[in-house]
Order: sequence, then structure tokens, then C-alpha cells
Amino acid sequence: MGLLTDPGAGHGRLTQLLVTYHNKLIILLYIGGVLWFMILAHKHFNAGTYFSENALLPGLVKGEFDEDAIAKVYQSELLDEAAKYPNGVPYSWLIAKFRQLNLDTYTHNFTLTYPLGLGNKFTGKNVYAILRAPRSSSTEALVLSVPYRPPSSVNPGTAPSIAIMLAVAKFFRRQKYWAKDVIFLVTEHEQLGVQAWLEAYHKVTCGRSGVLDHGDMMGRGGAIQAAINLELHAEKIGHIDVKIEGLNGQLPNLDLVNLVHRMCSKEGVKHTFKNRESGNYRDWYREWLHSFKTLMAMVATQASGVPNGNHGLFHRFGIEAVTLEGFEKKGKGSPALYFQVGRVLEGLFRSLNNLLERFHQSYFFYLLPAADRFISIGMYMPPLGLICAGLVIKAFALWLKMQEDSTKKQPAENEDTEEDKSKLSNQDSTNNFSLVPVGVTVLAAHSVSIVMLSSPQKLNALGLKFGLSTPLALYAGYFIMTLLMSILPLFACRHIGRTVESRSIFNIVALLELATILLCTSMQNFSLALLSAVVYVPSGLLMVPTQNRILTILQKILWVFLHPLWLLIIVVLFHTTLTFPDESVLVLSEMGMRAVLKALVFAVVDSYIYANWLFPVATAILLPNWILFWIVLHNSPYQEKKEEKNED
Amino acid sequence: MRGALYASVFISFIHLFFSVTCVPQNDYFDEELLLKPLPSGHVFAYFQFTTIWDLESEATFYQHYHLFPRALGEIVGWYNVQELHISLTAGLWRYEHWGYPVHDAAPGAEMWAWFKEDTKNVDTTWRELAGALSGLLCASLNSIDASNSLNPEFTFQLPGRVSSRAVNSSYLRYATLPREIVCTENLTPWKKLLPCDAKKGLSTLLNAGHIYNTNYHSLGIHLRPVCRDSNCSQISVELRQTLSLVYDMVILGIGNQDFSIKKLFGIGLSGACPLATMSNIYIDTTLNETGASFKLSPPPPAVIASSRGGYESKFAVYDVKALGIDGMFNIAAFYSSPRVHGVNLPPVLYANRYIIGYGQEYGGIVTKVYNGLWKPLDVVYLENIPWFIPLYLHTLKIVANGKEIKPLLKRYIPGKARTRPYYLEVALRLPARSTTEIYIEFDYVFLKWQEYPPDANHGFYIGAAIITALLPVGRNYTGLPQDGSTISSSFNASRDGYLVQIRTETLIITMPTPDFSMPYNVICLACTVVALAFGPLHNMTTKRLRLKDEGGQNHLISLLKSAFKRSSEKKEKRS
Repeated sequence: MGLLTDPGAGHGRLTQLLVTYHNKLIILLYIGGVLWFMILAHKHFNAGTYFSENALLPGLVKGEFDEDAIAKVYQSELLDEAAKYPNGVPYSWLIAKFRQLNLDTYTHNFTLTYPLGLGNKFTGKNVYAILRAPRSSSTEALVLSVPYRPPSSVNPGTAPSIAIMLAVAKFFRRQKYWAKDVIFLVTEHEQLGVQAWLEAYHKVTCGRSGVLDHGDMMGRGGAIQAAINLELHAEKIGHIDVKIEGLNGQLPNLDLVNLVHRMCSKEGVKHTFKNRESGNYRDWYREWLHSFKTLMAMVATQASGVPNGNHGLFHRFGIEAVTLEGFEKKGKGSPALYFQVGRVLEGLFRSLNNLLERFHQSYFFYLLPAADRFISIGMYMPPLGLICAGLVIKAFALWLKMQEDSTKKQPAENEDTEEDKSKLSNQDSTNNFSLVPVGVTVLAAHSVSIVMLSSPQKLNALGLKFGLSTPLALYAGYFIMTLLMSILPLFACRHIGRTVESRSIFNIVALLELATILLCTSMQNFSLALLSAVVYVPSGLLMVPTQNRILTILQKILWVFLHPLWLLIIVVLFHTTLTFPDESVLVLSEMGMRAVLKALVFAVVDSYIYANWLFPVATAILLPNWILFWIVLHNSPYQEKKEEKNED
Repeated sequence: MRGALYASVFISFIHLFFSVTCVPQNDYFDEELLLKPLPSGHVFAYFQFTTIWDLESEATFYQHYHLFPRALGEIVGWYNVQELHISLTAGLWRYEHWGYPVHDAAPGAEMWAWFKEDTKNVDTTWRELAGALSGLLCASLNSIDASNSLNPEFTFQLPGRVSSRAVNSSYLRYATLPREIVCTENLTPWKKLLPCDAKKGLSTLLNAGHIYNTNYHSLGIHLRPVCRDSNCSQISVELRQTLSLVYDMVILGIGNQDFSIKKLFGIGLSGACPLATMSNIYIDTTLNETGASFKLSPPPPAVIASSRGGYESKFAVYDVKALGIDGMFNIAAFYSSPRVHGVNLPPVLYANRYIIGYGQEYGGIVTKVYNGLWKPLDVVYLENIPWFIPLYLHTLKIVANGKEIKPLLKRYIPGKARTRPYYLEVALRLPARSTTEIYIEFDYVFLKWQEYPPDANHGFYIGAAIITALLPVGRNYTGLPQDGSTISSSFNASRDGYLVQIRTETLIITMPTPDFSMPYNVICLACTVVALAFGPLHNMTTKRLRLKDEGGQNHLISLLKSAFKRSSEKKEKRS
């Protein structure tokens, strides 16, 4: 409150201290923030999960599911049928099975016009059946979805999940307790099918218009409350992995995640998070390391913003959803069979059926270091705050220093009254820097990035003329644009570089913008913000113009590598190495290059079809900030304060 | 002594009984049950209890009661009601699979009434009528008032009118409570309105334990004036108490489609109501002609072939009075072979309604109306939107088969927060064999915090829209003709048009709902902020700020120094 009342603030002792020691403070805050975040993985610093919503009544009734025998029949029938359609979906078989169960069965067609390349059209068809709840008037619904994978698919097959879905449907149909319609959905083309189905259900287009034509659908079942996506790869299940990360890092309500884990443990099905069992170590360090790796696995998936299962597309529509991926049992021990999995599903849907209100009680923002531990938003935000605080402090210190410089420059004879002095200093500061060139430069940087954001389709078209493939065209286009962008400082410096203060102001703007970007992103996708902060905060802070030639070159090299495009390449290569650790370097580099080429196209296409934010955020928000710092680097440092700079 | 008293009471009772029956009867009671296996594998059971009360003049209405329920008659007489329709429904009638019901009813409670033209204050009378009926039926009809009632101009014109004079819809009120949950507490008072209560007759079949295990359940009370002759010189009052049930044989049956009275109602029939003039059970055997057939046991005494609007149907008729039931009586239908559910043949006209959009910025309501007829069909569409969902009329778009069409007529009265719902009635001509989408946008608004229900995150209900049409064909049609009162009057009743009033789904929308633990947090936060800001603000506003040469370099220390100085000066002064 001192700031409110004391006009003399900013020249006090505290600020003096801040100006003098801000670098040390920033380093301290950064290390503190990172350590704080890392320590959160330890069980002493996070909390055990619990049910917030009492209406779920998880697992209170005894499971009654007993259709496991029919599931086996369905499976063998489906495998025979699937063999006839190596690339398609056995629609007629699916429709017939659903009809036999006396369910309202519908199909849904959709068309994708591929936004890049030659603009090819792809069609798909989803099959879904609605079990009309006897106890309600179709105001609410639950979804059980399975992605259909033809035998030619590169992903592991999901025939067992369709078998169990049909068996469960058969069982559910005979029950009289349903108060919410249950929709059984079989989708084609992985996430595309689900996205199209959801868009058609809500009659909206999420991505760019004209890309995914969601088509029309006949039957609906009211507001969807929750969805379970099932991907079982085998009849004998070793463990079920619960996947939660959705599009743009959105997560389902923690109650639903807990519910799945609870039902699995009730039926004795081994359940994991991130395919990692909860470790049981006596050594606190190994225990922490285990949790931390799980936590970082989640952070990495969430940061990408790409859903790791079909559940991820439901979240946008306010539908809580998770994927249950079942892996084949290998080795000794008793596997979970259709019987157990069916009971898990029965328990899940009966609990969801109990819900009176939509999921709202528990957390929507959390991180999981283990299947049964969670870190709430209140716990994980402060570390990021600490990390980002460095940027703000640096900006503040620069501002104060600037003010000080300007007051110091005042001739000493101006001592008559305080009022005059402050007036003069005000005049001075207005004289010394003008916001116009700074503003113009910032605007220019942002405009360039907007151009880049809207260019992929044009680049693609241009590439086609020159006979380039889409990824090459995009890379070439962006590379050229980046080169052009690096020239921007030449023009910008001429404008800003007039006064020392303008440069300083420019640096402050860049720092503050980075802090704002990171904190705003953290509201949407914490993991993305965290990873970016860990990388960009120290580098951003280092981007201070120096006199030292070598240092300047090093700075520039570092900053070039932090260009979003380069970063993408580095991350993809790193990821490839991690995924295939056994491959030789040659094979790896080839795979890596292929992945790199695809990655950019995927990012663009995802943003067009699913409205994934990663590409827009990187190009329209992160990139201009990158340019700002790049311009800062090309500013010559203060000649007057050479000694002080070197001290820093 | 006591025995003599009993005897005299008994004799006087007998006397009374005979004296009542000796009075020239001016009312009749009929009880009927229609069982209809639906193509989807469900069984539709429809009970209708009809009381017709012939009166000499309007002045003697609702004075001396015989079979007509006095509890209802008094309310109706007191509130000047001419025509009254109430339905309490659980579940949704699936037109697409089940065809048309005898009485259309929207999920939840639905009520509409015409008042006599000498009624002074219709809104007040309506509210009071709803309150009185709420007590009678144990339903929350008392929450009906002007803020959720409409007076539609076209939709309710057609049924139940005795006079052909121009009607003034200002005497009509219509309201729905889509959230109303219907259960046995509504059934019991409803049964008490019957002359035989639930002690004898078809009403003994209505056991809450069984009839609430259905997919659809609709109680109805329909009161209307009817003409006694073709000139309409004399008017009678007709009261129909209806109960529609749809049983799902997949849930009920153990692997087969067989149904029987005992299976459906848990009890056999012990006989007819002695007060009833007619006590019939009809079983629709039309489906026997196609697909798997069933045999009735005992075999029906009579079979009626009915031709209606170009469609033939067959009914097995059991006259309960003539059966001479001794003990319990059961009718069972056995299928000779398991039924296969073929391709569904939807009725001529049906509709779906759903909410579009996501998030809580803006949304839309789409009503899809399917017209399967070979020729264009005129329909009236009545939208029923509560006041808390602001509609935008300019966004109303009606698209038939991809082409936008203009409505024939449009009536719109915008809603007003807390006082009036949105009223939109549109007359349309649906093209032949078309799917028409009626699309309108709305906004999500915040309500006052007391206006949220206890389970705020459940969502808010939007009542069903009504689509009224006169169908030229009688396919899937089971409704009674305008001039008929009993189910038997619907046999061979070919008319120019068959009135359907399709009710769409009720919708549930999630309004922006505050976190209801928030007020506490807000109070805490607000108090803290006020406490922190008050001091400095008070200082700033009451003290004058003057810049002063500090002399010393250090702010804090110099301040302290000056304070010390001042205190020491004071001390000096004191000393």
C-alpha cells in the first residue's frame, strides 16, 4: 500500500537493493521455482486423491455383468468380419449387432478436405447406437466410444474393445435403472471420427470452416455428461492405462479419473497412469524420482496439446472423458478378462448414471505424479510464478535504472526544490525516449507473425507450383520468412536506437511480454507454460546487449536455437531418440528427419481441424516475442554505462 | 343393541344406494384398456376412464355429484373453467419408433385450460386454479404463474371446442413444468377421482410397483364440454382420466416378447367396476398380419376390424362385464416365434429437438421436423422458452431440405425477465418428404443467486415444443376422434384429418453457474481488500501531501530520526 500513498517510492532503500541485487535475486527465484516444482512430486508435498462428488457412489453395488462369454463370440466374429475389409469398417456387421440388441442405431458420415497438399477429400463413417434410458426423457447421455482400427492400421487393434462394448451394451439393455441415455460409438479414422461426431452432435465447427465437414446426424441423446473411450488391445489384459490429457492440455475432472482407478482396483484389474505402476521404494530419493518421471511424462504430453486418446476431444464440449487403454498380459500372473473389464465398465457407468449434476466438484486443473496422488493448481502455480517473477523483476530493475540514469544526468545545480526536480526529471524521461518507435516495432513484429500464422495454405499452394511437397514447402517458406525476420533489427534499430532509454524500454517490453505470455498460457495449459518458462526465462534474461563480442555471438547463437521452428526440430529429434533408444544413429537421424518434416505439417493441420492452439501460440505469440528479443540483441549497449554492464 | 344399530345403518345404506340408483341417471362411466404391441418390441398400454355428465342447463353444472369426482368438479366450477387438460409424464414418447399415442404429453407436468368468457382476471384465476390442482394431485403445479404461462393463438384452437364462434385465446393458458418428477404420490390422488377408486375394475391393475417400471408413463386428466347431439343444443361435460404406459419387453421379458396382463401389471383382473356402463379390453392384433404373430389366451370373444384413414387395423375385444369373471382373469399373448426387429417405419410426422453449440457464450435450439408425406403439410410450431433464455427472433431460420422457407404466420412476444416467457408460434408449410430445421439462437445469462435450484449444476430445463398438424392419413394413429369420447369410438372413425400434437424432447442446458461456495470466498476477499485499502485511502483523502526536502539520503531512517527529534523536542518542552 506504500505504492499507493508515497509518491517518493522507487527511490527508497528497498528499490536500491533491488537494483543492486536483482540478478542474484532472479537466479535465486528461478532455482527456487524449479526446485519447488520438482519437489512437488514427492508424496510429502502432494495430496492423495479423494472423491469430491458424493453422488458418484463409486462401487457401492455388486457388479452383475455376466456377458463375458458373448464377448468372446463377438470378438471372433468381428475378427472374421474385419479380415474381409482390410482398410474399412465392417459397418453392416456393427449395425446388425446393435440392431439385434434393440438399440436405436444410426450412422454418421463426415468428409475431410485436407487443408494442405493437393486438398484431397477423405470420407469416413461412424456407427453409433443409443440405449434409451427408461427412467428419463433423453435429457442427458453418457458415451462409450471405441476407435475402430482396420487390420491394416499401424496402431494396435481394438477389436476386443468392440467385443466388450457390444457385450456391455447387451447387458445394459436389459437393465431398468438407466437415467441417462448410453451412446455406444464406434468411430473411424481415429481422432478425426470422434471430432466429426462431436461437431455434428453439437452442430458446430471447431476448426477452420471448409476443412472438416462434420455432416448431419439423426439420433441424439441430450447433453452428454461423460465419456469413456475404450482401447483394449487384447482379450487378456495385463494392465489398463488411464489416459487423461486432452486437446490443448485440457484435463477431465479429477473425480472421473479417480472413479476409473477405483473401479479398476475394485475389480482387481491392474491400473496404471502413464504406463507406470506406483513404485514402492524405501529410498525416498528413488521414490521421488519415480513419481517425478511420471509427473514429467504427464507434463510432456500435456504440453504438446495433442490429445493422447480419443477422449481428449470431448473436453472442449464440457464432457469429462478418459481413455482406458488395455495392454496384453505378458508373462506370469492372472490377466484381467472380459468378465473383469465388463464389471469395471458396468461400475463406471452405474456411477456416472448416479450423477445428478454434471462433474463440477473436483479439480479440473491438476498434475498427477502417480495414479493416486495429485498436485492441485494451488500447489503448482507458485513455482511458475517464481520463475516468471524473474522477468518482471528484471524489467522493473531496468526501469528503475533508467529512471536513475536520467536523474543522475541532471545537472547538480538543480537543487532548489524537490518539485522542480521531479518536474524536470519527468520532462527528461519524456525527452529521452519515445514510445512511438517502440510501439511501431512491436506492432511490426506481431504483424509479421500474423502473416506467418496465416501463410501455411498459401505456402502449400506456392510449393505445389514449384513441385515441392507440403512439409518441404512449409519449411522452406518459414525458413525464408525467418531469414527475412532476422533483418528486421536493421530497420528497427535505426528507429529505436536513437536513445539509450528507448532501447531499455524495448527490453522491458520484451521481458514483460514474455512474462505475460507465460502466465496467460499457464491458465490454459500449465505444462506448456512451465516447459517454455524453464527454457525461455533464463535465456530471455540473458538477452541483454553487451559490449563483449564473443558473448554477443554466443547470445545470438543461443537465441537462434530458441526460435520456435528450431525448437520444434530439436524437440522432435530428442523425442525420436527417446522413443527408439536402440536404433543406430543413422537410422535415428533418418527417422528423426522424417518426424521433423511431419511435425510441422501435423501442427498446422491439427490447428486447422481440431483448433489445436500449439501452432497459433507458437507463431502468433511466441514468435513475435522472439523477434523482440532478437532486436534487443542487435541494440548496441549503453555506451555511457559500459563499466556497470560489464559488472553484471 | 349395537347389532340393531349396525342393522339399521346397513338398511339405511341399502336404502340410500337404491334411492341413488333410482334417481334418473344423468352420468355414465366407461372404463377401457387398450394394449398395443409396438413394432419396436415395446407394449403400449392405455387406460381410459371416461365419465360423461349430461346436464340440463349450465346452471346445474357441478352441483350434485354422482359419478363425476366431486373434488375435481368443485375446483373446476369455482374457477370458471371450461376446458382443462393436465398431464403428468415421466419419460419421452418416441414418435419415431412408437407411432402416435392416444394423448400427446410433454415430459414433466403440462397443463392448459380455457376459462369461460365471463372470467374477470384470467391470470389470477389461472394461478389459483393451478394451486388448487396442485393440492389435488400432489404435483408442484403451484409453481405455475404468469411467468411460465403462454396463451398460444393457434395450437390449442382445435380440440374440444363445442361452439364454432371465434375463440379468444386470452382465455387460454398453457404451462409446462419439464422438471416435474411423476411418481406414486400423483397416482394415488388420480385413482381417487375414479368412481370405483382402485377397488374394483380396471383400475385395480394400476399398481405403482409395476407401472413405474415402464419406459413411458403419463397420467392425464382431460375435461371438456361436448355436444350431446349434432345441433349442439345440449352440452355435456366429458372427463377422461387417462394413463399411458409403454413397457419395454426386453427389460421385462426373460428373453421373449410374450406379454400378459399379469406380466405387465403384476396382478390379474378380478372384474369390472360395477358402476361402469362399459368395461372393455382391446388388444391391437394388427402386427399379427406382418412378421411374427402372437396368439391370445383366452381367445378373444370378438374381433373388430377397423379402417381408419386408409389404414386397416384389428382389435381383439374382451368385454369384462360379459366375461363373468370368477376369481382372477388374465389375458396372455404368446409369440409363436421370436420377433425380429425389422427396419423401423417412422410415422408421417415426427420431430427431434436439440441444443447446439458449446461453452456458455451463445447457443441455439434446433427442431428438426420430418415430413414423410407425399404432399406438403401445414403445421403449427409452438416454442416454449422460459424467460431466462433470451431468444433472438432475427436468428430464426427455417430450412427445409437445404432451402430456406418463409413461415405462413408468425406470432412472437418477447419474454420479460421473471414475468413472461418467450412466446413464438409459427405456422409452416412443410414440403413433401422433407426434413425441416427450425433454428433459433439464444444467449446464456446469469441469474440472481437465489434463482438457482439446489442442484444448480444439473442444468435448467427447456420445455417441449409442440408441433400441431392435421394428418391426412391415419397410419400409426391411435388418437380419439374429436367427436368421440371412448376408445371404442375410434374404431372405423375415418375423418378429414387426424389431429396430432407432437411434443419434442425437453432440453437441459447448463447456465453459467456460480460456484456456490463463492459467496463465502468473496466476502473474505472483499473484507480483506477493504481493510487493506481503507487506511491508505483514508490517509490520501484526508491528509494533504506536501513535498519536503528530506535532507538525509535515507527515507526510512530520516523519518525515524525526525520522529525521535519530535519526541525529544516534546520531552524538552514538557520538561
